[in-house]
Amino acid sequence: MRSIGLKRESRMANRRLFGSAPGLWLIRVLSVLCLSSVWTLGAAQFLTALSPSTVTVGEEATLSLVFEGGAPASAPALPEIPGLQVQYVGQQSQYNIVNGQASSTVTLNYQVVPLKPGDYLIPAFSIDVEGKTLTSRPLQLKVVAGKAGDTGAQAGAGSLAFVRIMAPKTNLFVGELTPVEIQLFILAGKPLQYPEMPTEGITVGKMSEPGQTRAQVGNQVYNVFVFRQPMTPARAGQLTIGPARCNVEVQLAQRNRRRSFPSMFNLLDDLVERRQVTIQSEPLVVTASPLPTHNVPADFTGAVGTFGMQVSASPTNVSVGDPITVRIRIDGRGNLDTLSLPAPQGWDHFKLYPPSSKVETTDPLGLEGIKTFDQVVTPQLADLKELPAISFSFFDPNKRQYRTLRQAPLPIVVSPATPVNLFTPAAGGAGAGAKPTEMAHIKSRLGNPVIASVPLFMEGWFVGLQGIPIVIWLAAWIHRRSQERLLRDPRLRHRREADRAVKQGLKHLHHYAATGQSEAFFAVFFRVLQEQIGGCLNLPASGITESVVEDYLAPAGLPEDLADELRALFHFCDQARYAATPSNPEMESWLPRLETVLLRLKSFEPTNISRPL
Amino acid sequence: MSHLSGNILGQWRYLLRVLALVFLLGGTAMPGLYATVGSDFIKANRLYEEGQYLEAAALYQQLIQKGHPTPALYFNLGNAYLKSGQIGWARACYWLAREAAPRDPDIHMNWRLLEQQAGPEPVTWWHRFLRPSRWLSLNEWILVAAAFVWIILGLFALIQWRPSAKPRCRRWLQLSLIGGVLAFLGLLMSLCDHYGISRGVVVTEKAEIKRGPIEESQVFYTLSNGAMVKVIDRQFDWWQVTDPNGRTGWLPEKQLVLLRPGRISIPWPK
Repeated sequence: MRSIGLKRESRMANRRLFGSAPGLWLIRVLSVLCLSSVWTLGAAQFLTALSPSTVTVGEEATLSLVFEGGAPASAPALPEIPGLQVQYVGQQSQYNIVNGQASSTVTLNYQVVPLKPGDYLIPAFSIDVEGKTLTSRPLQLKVVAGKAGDTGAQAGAGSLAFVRIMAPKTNLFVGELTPVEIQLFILAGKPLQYPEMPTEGITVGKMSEPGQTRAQVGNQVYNVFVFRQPMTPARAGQLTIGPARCNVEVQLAQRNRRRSFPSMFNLLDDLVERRQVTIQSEPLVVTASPLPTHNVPADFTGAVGTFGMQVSASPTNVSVGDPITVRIRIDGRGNLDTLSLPAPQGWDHFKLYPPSSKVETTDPLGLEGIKTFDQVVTPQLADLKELPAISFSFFDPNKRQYRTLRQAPLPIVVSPATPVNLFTPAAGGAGAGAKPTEMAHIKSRLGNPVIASVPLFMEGWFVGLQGIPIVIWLAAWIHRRSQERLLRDPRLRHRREADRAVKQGLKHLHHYAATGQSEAFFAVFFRVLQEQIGGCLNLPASGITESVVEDYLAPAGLPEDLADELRALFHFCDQARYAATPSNPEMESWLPRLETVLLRLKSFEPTNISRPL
Repeated sequence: MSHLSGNILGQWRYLLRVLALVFLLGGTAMPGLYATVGSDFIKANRLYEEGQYLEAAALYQQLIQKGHPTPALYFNLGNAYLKSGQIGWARACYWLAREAAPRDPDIHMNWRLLEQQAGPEPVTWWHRFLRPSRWLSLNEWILVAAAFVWIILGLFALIQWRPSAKPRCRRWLQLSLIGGVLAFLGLLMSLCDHYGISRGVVVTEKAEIKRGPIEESQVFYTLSNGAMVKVIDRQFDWWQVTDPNGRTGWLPEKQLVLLRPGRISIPWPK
């Protein structure tokens, strides 16, 4: 009975997991029966099954935990097995009634995906079922490479993904700079993060951006992601780099999986399954040798690598105390950041300032480049002829010996300078181009005050002053426009001239009235009237008589009282010309009347001028 | 028209009379003012000749602070400071004197002497290119440019006033426009020279330039009295400076006198 039930549950599990290829399920059930083992502990029973027991890399196997007469409260977590990805995929329940007796079976299924070929052992594990502890027995799984006969010539061949550490040299000297590579081989997928690589006794630099290439390993072509970083042994001995670990996403082909209805609409997702896995490399062992202790140059400061040196100085023709910049340019391969100059020797007659340095690398890892030191020195004596020799020592790991670069003394010309306390008064000013050797004496004349202690454009009065030429120009421009307007309008011009003549005439009239010059008074009196009326009517003033009042002004709308007043003024002029001479008070008494009339005429605008005179 | 021109001439005569009166009043007032300043100036010179440099410096400084600065005062004060060993203050005074009187050979002579003693001025190739503009001071450039503006606008006004004068004015106008453009170019160069870089002078015996604007910061390098630096920034009581060798560090505020662009004044020592 138990075997019948097992057959049923196995059939159903296989059908769910592997599909329903005819005959195939029978073979697999038989294999389950071969590998399964059954315990009976009271009422509850527990057995395990793995199918198939031999798979290729990337192919799934199913681990089934079968419980009869009971079941665990939840799916148990299985122990981690390196190289295998185990994932719970679901459970099945089955009820059997045989000869009137009912029994239940619960099957928990786990999907097992191998990542590398090899023989794996799924260890025994215990599960609590209804207060009782049930223990499984170990199961064997054999995983072969992707294709039959492909053994993989290199480590990791046949895996979905693997990682390895590579270094061009594993025998190094302490302080020697060399690159180390982390190569990530992924059959189909991508890295999800930068690899992590612990080191011991080794200083590593910043990891570069990954480069990507393809490489064939065994019979498979991998995508290779290469991460590079510089490393320097910090101490002597056997030093370990790694293992490197990295989370990657691999793509699995879902063969033997029966398609569900919804997944028919997404064929690609159904064919490829993406899975995140962690891969780990073997560690790399590096042998770091100490630097030789014999023949160590006195000026060696710990530089290890291959270097060249160039030295220049500027200026080379100076006075005592003038600064000279000595530029020491060291280029080559090695740890430039930690490179330093030896303590200066032979610079007793120079004052030295702390050097500044600058590093320019020529490759992304900073293995090669140029380090420039700028050393400022000031000669303290006038008879110095050269800058002292400069040397730089380093250990060359390729030649396995110390080397010293030497720069011959650089010639310089140092002229004496006059110290401050030797200044003597100068007789008069010095030429602007002459080299000063003495101090100019104080000035005996106060001289002119400074224009302003701040820039003039910050002084309000100065800015305001600059408005004057603008105002003048604007005034001239307005004047010009006014002149042009007068030229275009003869009537206006005539009126203006008349106004001017009237103004001048009135001035004379007062004078003539006061002095009793009656003849001149009445001549001007009459002329003033003519000018005003002529300006008003745009008529020549000389031809205007009393009749113009009737002929032009009255038809042009002149008020009657003003016309009467005008007639009276003309009469007054006629009487005075041809009758007795009026007295001074009489002449003066007419002036206000005249002024009133002139004022009214000035504001009079004729509405209709019939014809010119 | 003759009447009009008569009026204008009358107004000009009036204006000239007013200006003459102003100059007359000024001419009578200024000698009185400078008589007092002059006597103090002579007194300070006498102290200097007697070797009492600090007393002479105090008197020169007092005259400047009273508001009567002249290039000669700045120059003599610089000499007094130099003789008393205060190279930084001397350099600041020569700087001010040079700003006020850029063509004075005595000022240039002593300035170059200090350059030999305390190091060069922090300049770039750009400032060397602008150096010819130092033939005139900034205010002189401003005055020259303003004068050309006056001339050009005056000529334009004359042409408006008297259109018949246009043919005669045209040549002058062309010359004035060329002169105006040159003057404004010179002004622009002078402005760039003054405002393109902020300079300062170390006025303490030894200035320790630190890597950061805090007292506990590591000393980067030291500068001697009178060294000139390029001032980049200010934080709290610290100046960020760059020396002529391009090294940038921080210096306490009290150890430096900032030479403000275009300003002929500094915070004087007490």
